[in-house]
Amino acid sequence: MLKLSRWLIAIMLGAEALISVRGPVAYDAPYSSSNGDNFAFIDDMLLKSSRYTQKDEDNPAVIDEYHDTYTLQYTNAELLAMGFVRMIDGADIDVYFEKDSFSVIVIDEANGYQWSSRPEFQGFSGAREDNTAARNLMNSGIWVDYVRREKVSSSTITTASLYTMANVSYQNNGAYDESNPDQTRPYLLEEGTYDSDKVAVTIAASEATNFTAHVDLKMIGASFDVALSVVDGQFEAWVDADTVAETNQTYQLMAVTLFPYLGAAREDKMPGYIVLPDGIGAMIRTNRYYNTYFQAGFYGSDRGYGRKTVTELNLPLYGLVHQPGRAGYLGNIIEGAEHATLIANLWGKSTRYHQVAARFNLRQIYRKIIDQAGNGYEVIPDSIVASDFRIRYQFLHGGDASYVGIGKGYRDYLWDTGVLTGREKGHGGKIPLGLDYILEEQEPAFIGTQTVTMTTPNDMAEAYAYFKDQGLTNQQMTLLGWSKDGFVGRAPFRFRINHKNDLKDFIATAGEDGNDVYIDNNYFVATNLSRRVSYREDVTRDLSRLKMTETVNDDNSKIREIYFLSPDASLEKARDDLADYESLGVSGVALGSMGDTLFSYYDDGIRSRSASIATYREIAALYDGLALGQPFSYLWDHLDNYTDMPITNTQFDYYTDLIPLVPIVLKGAVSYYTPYLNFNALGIDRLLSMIDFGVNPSYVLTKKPSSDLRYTEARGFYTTTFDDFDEEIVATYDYLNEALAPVIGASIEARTMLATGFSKVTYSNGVAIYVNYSNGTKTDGANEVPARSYLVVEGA
Amino acid sequence: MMKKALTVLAIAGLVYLSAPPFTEAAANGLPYSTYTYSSSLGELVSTQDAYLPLSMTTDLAGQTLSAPSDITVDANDIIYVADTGNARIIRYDLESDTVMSFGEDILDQPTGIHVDIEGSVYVADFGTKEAYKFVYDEGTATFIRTVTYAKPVGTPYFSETDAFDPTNVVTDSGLNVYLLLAGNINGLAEFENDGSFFGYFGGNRIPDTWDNAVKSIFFDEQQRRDWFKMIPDPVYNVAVDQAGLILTTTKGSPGYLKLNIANDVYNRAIWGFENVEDIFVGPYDTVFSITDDGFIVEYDPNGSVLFIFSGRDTSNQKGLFKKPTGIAVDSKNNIYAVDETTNALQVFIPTDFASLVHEAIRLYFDGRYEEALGPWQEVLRMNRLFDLANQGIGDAYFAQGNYAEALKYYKIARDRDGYSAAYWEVRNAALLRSGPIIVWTLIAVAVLFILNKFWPYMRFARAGAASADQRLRKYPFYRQMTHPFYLLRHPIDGFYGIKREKKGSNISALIYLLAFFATYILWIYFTNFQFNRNIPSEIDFFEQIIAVFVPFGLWVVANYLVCSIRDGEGKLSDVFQASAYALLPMIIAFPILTLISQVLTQNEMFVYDTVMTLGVVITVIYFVVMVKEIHYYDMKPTVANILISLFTGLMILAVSLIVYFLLNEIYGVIADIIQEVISRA
Repeated sequence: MLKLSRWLIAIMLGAEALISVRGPVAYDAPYSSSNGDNFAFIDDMLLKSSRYTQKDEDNPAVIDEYHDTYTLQYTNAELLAMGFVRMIDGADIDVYFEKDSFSVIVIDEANGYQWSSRPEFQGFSGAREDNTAARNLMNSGIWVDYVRREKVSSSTITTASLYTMANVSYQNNGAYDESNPDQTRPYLLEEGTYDSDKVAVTIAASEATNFTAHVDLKMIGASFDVALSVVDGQFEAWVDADTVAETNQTYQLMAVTLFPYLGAAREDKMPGYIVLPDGIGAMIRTNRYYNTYFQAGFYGSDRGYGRKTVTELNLPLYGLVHQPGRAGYLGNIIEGAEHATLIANLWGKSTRYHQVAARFNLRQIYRKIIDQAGNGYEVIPDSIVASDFRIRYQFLHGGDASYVGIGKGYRDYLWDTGVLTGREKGHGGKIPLGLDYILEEQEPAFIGTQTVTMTTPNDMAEAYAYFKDQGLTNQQMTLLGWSKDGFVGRAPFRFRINHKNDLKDFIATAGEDGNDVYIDNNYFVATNLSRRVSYREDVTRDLSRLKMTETVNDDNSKIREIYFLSPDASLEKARDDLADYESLGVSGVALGSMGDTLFSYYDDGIRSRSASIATYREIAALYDGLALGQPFSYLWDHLDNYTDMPITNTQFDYYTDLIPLVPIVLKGAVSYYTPYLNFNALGIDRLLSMIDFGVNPSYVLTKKPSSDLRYTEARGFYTTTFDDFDEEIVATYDYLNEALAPVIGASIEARTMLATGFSKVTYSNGVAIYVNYSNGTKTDGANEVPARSYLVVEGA
Repeated sequence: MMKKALTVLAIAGLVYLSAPPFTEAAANGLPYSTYTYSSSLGELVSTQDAYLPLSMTTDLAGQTLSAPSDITVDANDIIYVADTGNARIIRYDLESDTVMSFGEDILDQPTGIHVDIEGSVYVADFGTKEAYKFVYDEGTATFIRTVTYAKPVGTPYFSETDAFDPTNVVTDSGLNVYLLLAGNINGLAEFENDGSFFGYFGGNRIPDTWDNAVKSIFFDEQQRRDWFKMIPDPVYNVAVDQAGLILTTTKGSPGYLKLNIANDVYNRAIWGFENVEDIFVGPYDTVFSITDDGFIVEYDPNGSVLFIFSGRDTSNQKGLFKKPTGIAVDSKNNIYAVDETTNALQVFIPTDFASLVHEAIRLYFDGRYEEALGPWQEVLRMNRLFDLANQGIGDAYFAQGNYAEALKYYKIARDRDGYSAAYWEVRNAALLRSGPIIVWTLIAVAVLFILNKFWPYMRFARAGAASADQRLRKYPFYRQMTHPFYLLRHPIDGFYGIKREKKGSNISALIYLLAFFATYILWIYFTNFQFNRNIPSEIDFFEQIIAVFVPFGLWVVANYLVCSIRDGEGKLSDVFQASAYALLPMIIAFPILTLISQVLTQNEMFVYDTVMTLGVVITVIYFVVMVKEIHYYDMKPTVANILISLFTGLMILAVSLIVYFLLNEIYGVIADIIQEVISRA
């Protein structure tokens, strides 16, 4: 069935450089249908949709207007006139600061690009943009949210800037036109309107590369310090929680936002985009009218506060690019991301700017419940979170001014801090294949449940040998349903195993070949079917002091209770199992839901997400090998396999592009795997995107037919049968390995869309991979890529 | 069914997002999970994603929609939208991204749009209370109104005061025009193409439920309408399939009905939501419906569910809906849907998996079963729980004459008709094969029978049994256990024996009761699925215990209590023993039913039904006789007492429940107080 037709063209270029070009091994799609061909224009629309990365703006009219009119160029005199003082004169960047409004202008020495924390080019429309309240918000670099102490409710939270509190007014309507050619006009305050009885900013300390501003919000009786510095050529802002003081009995602080309008892009004037760490990575191009906003907490929403949102931000960062290849920045939140919310406002009725910033939540509202029916009222915690907020802005220029540069900036930070090291599973020069085996599951019986055996250790050994025979010598296996407890919904599992010796033997055999076997468990999210969970002791409480549970109807309308375990209970159970795992000889543990579960909880006082992170990190440190599904970045230093790499992002209707942000950060450090390809409905398109992003394949298998699972909780695994997949796995693996083996251990250096549906990814070892998603042949110079295929060029 | 499924899907979506342990295994990066309905399991099962959200557009080549209420696609894959808020029709060519609008000067509130097989456009207008036919005029390159369909006058169908509110329109293959009238219970108003009215078509009927039947006996039509609101539900939306058959949907009824030209139900959705908003028939006669909260269901031409996906949008995600109003499908099975709240046109495109299923469906419904085998096997490989694939493979093997193999697949799909037909063939072959054995066996039996006439050797067997019986009769337990068999033949004397001669005992009665339960369980577990709606693993043992023993216990207690104050003679133990013994006919019938179900086909259903009916009728008769004899009643008080006993039983149950709820309330109050003390402290 499988026709292995390799072809290798070697072209001598000059004297030494050898460029080898490799196309894919022939791939017989596991299935194809004759009526699957859609209209050409539909295929084209798909490639132009937000499921793919798009070509960057290349309309010369737009680019020229941006360069000529919408590139910030303040003279020193103008800066001085607006009250800016050069506080830091760094080798890479200069920082100008205006303390009353807490505004900064950062100049990137590399290309002289000026970044302003205020929305620039106000009044350029010629139309009135003189709403004082709006100007007051936009023009100051600190916003605070506060609330009255009594009768707290989400509708009474007030957002105010320094200017709002100081109640300033402006000299003019801010219009900028031929009769008013002064670009500083929008920011000129009327003399003496800054009410320093309400708010005052003082420079507390100043050195060559750093200074501290003391912000005293007298109006609401709150104050705090913000330390601004230049570290490694990056601009850092730090809110020290210890300096936050609240003296007023009437108001309480809720949140602080630093530089909300830093680099805000006006209307459709900047040919760039906002980068969001949503799913695998998302992008919103700043070239159109959206009239909407984006808001999501980093590391998912906090169940402790009863929040549930769809978006999960896996990385503590965001980015903004004015023009790819010219200027952009990465906002890297290095402390306090677990208490921060990412907010982007897009050009619409209420603003002419595309703006993105992180809000640091000192407190959040939750409900106090007073009866069984769930009635109650809203309250806030007495004390603020015990966590600092520290963000580093890395200003990007040249080729790095793009989403790739944003990903690389964060990647370099993780390498520098030792979180990432080169530990890809490149055993034998082949890409890893993730293979999960379901051993047993429980199905309802006449009385109680009975065991459905899907795969025995000997079956696994057979499958292992088969794949090894076929040249798949780098198998990363995970045992599912290994306990007598069963599988779906029954974790945390008790250590009771059928055929324990067979299993041990198998693990040892695989280990001799250098292949890993992981054991699956879940100490974090349990259900009412779990036999190893005590509802009273293990299930944690949310801040309302209710048990943190969730009732779901599965697709069979059977009601199930989902229990969230307290981090301490998780740690205890994890420790209890260590010796057992060791006795089995497994290479590591797969803790599916640890990586994307994070909540505050109540345990004799409010425990914040920072506390949960600390406990989870303690658990992660227990193991030599750790596989996690879509883990948040605070666990990455212990990570050996990253499973379930998101295929896409939340796909909000205002997203314009999908970008491989997480792969750019991880490639070259940790192997990452796609969700089970058993359930791939997208055919070869999915495989092409895996090659594009460097994602490794993964399957879930059983020896017995999957229909045996139909009466069990695992009925969602409706196609897992080894006999159905043996050939497909080999074919798919060869197809992917041919492309990705040359870049094992290499990191992504650049990625460009040469045309719609045609990408080129360049790796640190000089290999370039072209992926053509479209239905026509694409060329780049001498490199020709057939429709829906790829091409690997080595030594380019 | 609908509500249940709704919450299921909504929650399933949530599960998918929050990723706790019941997560779907499937993942293609979509904001929803895709399901199919398994008729064999009677529930929704996950399946591969079938459609991919392609785009969500509010800007159609410079035109914006305002509260669009319907959408259709013509033979050239051009999209037409009833742009209700802007009182116009939008004709949109997705390929060239060009738009043309028409009807601005005629239309007021266009709510329904349809294109006939000749390419003429029909519009139903709720505002002008008329429908129109528009024909494209090459000369002016515009659409020109040619026919108006208005409220007929001078016909007995419509009085002056009757409303005429057209909301949608379709045409059949004969170009007859069917107007959907809002709130009209008589069905669709059928017009000839030239605009003359000729009657109603496709109205709903009053469902045949037993209470409706009772009401029909006692009340005339006017009373039924006035007092019980016994009027058929108005048709809510309408579509036409490739053959020109009309499909209707009704709010509150699941799925859709497909009508034949004789105005009878040709087939219907096997499963469906009850809040279907719009319906459309695709190129392979598969039916697409969308609910008012955004769930899209695709059916095969017979009404089996293929895919269920999408859903309600809470955060502006592509691929979900806020308030969808129209759905249409083009020749490549791309789905177009409009949303009244977002004013957006959404496009979904089939995945490779959906295309594979469509390929199989196309071949299968062309009757090319054997060609469909390959695609079906591939579908089954991709989803082992896809019933239709099992059925399709079964049909393919059946067509090949490979009945044994077909039987296997029909059994997995729980396809009763297919199984029955295949089993008939298999059994027939088996019978033919074993013909000689049967003949020789019959001959042997006949010979033995004749032999017995001359030399009655059977008397030894009978004598042996009799002497064994004689010896065992010494033991009272044996006599008690065999008494029900005596009772079976001599009910009056038998019950008298229980009451007066202590021929029964509680222990033997208990054994009979348990035997009844055991045979009952045997019956529900092992009866062939052709005659058995129970799915073995779904049977809850403890539920069955309650279902059998609670009614029996209630009956015994209620009957004793009622009769003891109504001059009955029976004691509690008498009632218990007699009731348990009276179950014997069913104890005999259940195993017989279970056994014969294994060798019968649907054709011999009557055999199964007869045995069942016989068992039930005899049991009921014995219960009546039992009450009469145990309490020594005449016939009339017997019936009265049985009815009162049944009523009393229900009352006992009701009172117990009330007490239970009251206790629960008290518990809740105490718990609330404790909780408030804790949270205020």
